[in-house]
Amino acid sequence: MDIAFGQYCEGDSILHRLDPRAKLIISIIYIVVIFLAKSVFAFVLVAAATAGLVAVSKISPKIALKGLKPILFIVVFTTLVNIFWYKGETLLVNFGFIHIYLEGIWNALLIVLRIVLLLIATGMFLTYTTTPLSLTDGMEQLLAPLAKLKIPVHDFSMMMTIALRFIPTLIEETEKIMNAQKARGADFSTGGPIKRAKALLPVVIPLFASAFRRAGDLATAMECRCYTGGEGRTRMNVLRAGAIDYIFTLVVIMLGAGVILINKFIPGFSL
Amino acid sequence: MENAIEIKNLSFTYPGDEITPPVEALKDVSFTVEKGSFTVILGHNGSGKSTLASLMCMLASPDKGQIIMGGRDYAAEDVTDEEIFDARRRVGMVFQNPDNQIVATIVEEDVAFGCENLGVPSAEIRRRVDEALDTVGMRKYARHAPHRLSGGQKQRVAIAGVIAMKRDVIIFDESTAMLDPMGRREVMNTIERLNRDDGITVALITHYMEEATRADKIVVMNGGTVLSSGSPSEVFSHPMTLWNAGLDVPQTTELSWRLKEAGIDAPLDLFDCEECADGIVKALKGRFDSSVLCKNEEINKEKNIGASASKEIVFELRGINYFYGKGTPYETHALKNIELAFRKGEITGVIGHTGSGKSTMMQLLNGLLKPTEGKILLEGKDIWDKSSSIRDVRFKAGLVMQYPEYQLFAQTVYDDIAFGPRNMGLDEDEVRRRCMEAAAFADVSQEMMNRSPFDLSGGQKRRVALAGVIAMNPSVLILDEPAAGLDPGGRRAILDGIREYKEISGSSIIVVSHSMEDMAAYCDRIVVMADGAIIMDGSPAEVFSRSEELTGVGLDVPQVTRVAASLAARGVDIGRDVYAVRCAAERILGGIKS
Repeated sequence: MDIAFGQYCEGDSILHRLDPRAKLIISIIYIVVIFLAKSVFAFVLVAAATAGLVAVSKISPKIALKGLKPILFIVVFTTLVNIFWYKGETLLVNFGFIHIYLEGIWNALLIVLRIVLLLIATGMFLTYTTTPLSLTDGMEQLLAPLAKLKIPVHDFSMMMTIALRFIPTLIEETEKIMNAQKARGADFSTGGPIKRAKALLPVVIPLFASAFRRAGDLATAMECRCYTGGEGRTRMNVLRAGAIDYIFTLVVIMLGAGVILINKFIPGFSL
Repeated sequence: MENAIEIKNLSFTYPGDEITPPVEALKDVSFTVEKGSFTVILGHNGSGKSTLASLMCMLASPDKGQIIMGGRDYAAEDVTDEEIFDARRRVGMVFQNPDNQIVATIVEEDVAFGCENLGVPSAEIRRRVDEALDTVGMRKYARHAPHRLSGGQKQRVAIAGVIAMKRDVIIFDESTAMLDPMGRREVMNTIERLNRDDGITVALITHYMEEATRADKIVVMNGGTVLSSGSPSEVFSHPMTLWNAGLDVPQTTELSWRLKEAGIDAPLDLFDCEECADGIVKALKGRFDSSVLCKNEEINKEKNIGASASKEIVFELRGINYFYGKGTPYETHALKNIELAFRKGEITGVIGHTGSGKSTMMQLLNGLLKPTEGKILLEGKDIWDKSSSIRDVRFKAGLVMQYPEYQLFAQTVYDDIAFGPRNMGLDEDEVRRRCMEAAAFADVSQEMMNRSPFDLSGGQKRRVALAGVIAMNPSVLILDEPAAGLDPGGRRAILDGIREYKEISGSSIIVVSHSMEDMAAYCDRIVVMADGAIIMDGSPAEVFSRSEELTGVGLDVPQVTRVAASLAARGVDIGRDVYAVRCAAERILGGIKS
């Protein structure tokens, strides 16, 4: 069995080839740009840029939209809250205790659009085109200066790597143990929540025992391979930012500038 | 010859706590590992060999004694942490469990891990990693995720990680114990190549005798002391000493020893089948005559006892087909038209290389998987029939999975064994009776019943897990590699327990194993699978006499069967159907002209 972490999609687009550090920085700028957009025309620009991203990544738009499914509830909820509770000036519906203002609808639309764009854009940069490993790497190297403030950046990234390494192993093990206990008549699928939780004990206990045993073994193996923490370590794959990384960053910054200019000079329908 | 490691009078005791008493793991152990040599440390589980390995890797420091490398005693009081760290750069270790020593999520990143720790420059790491991956033949898997590799491949990645660090000495701590025969061959060949071509000193800890015969030197450990040491010829010339230490000897040696006991002076130190056959032929001095053997009634009588087909059928597979991922592009036809019946009071061995479909079949038998096509009849009733509950089927067809000790969970051994019977809804008196009975079969002592299963040794845990399934009184007992990873003594204990259970309860037993020697010794009938289909089905004698076909599908035959073939080529024809040492010896002796 294979678990797709964050749904990384194999590929060789420009986005796949960007330095993970560049992608992290660009994502942050992009989020700021999305929140800067106020004018309808600015939104159109950002939406077009995001659509462009999807096109450049060569990932099918279907997959990109699928990623929105988990947040459907939040979208619906914020929309309703904004429509019914927002108090503006232009009253559209006044029926009993229900008051709907034009500004409320606008606001709801704005927020939903922001959430959707934000998720698609960060997904394009960080999940669909970046492996968890290079993301961890990028994060470690980007945050490296924080190590001077005694923040254990390297240790966190090591923990992430090990977790990513062992999740598939432990999932496989869980399956094996469940099968073994099923073979002894364990029943995981009937009864109330308490009974079901109790039925899981014979799975959870051996799983923990095994995780601890693996952790001990791994620690010994790492010690044997001279691991002493992040200090004095070198890396085989050193991240090197190339021209393309700078160009991409620049393009996104220019997008931000464009958004600000549009907000200022063509502020159509903006709030 | 220069010594890579010199061990002098080493002692080590594990400190105890409130529950467990202190354990004296090593007592006054001395031996040397010569530079560039292939040294094997042999011993049963608990003989102190793994403790020795961790001391040699400086993972612990001994209570007494010396560990000398390059003129420095690393067990001395004044050794600094830097020196220990430095020593670790020279001695590498490959562990038993391939999963638990791989750190990174990509093969080449893992191989680089050690070098990165040492602060080697990036370009140099790149070069070393590529070279190390080439050495172990894993270059084309460089960008793969480790969890997708086979056990043998994972171990080769671990070896690459060690050689990339340019160690002089590599210690292998039972690194082949958890692998299938193919993986074991891959790893052993890699180890031998490293030793021979790259001059790396190898210390291999094992309880596989075939591996030990390849060494320059063997150190036999028993009860924390060195029992004997020397070349394989010297060590295996005393089979009794090894048997008494819970170990075994290669089948070639056992055969020669049996002949020697009967007055035929066959050499004990020839481990290659051809050489052994030569030695036996020479020792027979032309006294063997196959016509004498043909007339020897006592032996021929035994030959004709085959598996009796008259016994009642308990379990039946009819027209079974199984597909993984049916309808997807990844569809695989795992089982093809399987027709198979299992009888009462019979031990059926299922053999086949990894991926032959035998594991899928095990899971079908226990109702963990549902056949895509076909019927499974248990005591004449379709197990997937609407009227039968799959849980009841599982109680009747008890399944002991591979490494079952990892599923123990209860607070006491008794509660763990009682888990199955309690799930069956039996009353507490009956549960108790069943637990006691099962414990007796699996050789679980009364004293162990109130202890936590987590405090037991590996072999004990395995027996508790077996008892947990036997306690459900299954009419069919299905076992997947019941003896994997156990030392010869542990193997015998568990397999004897299974046979005893069959004899007393009359159940049908189905065993899946890679060990041809075990299968030959314990099974009444052997089913051979390849590519999801059954290609042979018969008594061990019938199956093992077709050794060419077996090797054609990547399977081994017992060593003694190969010796018999070599003997036949040299004019000493004792038949192709020999699969046990005792039988081979009897036939050779039975054919001697008076």
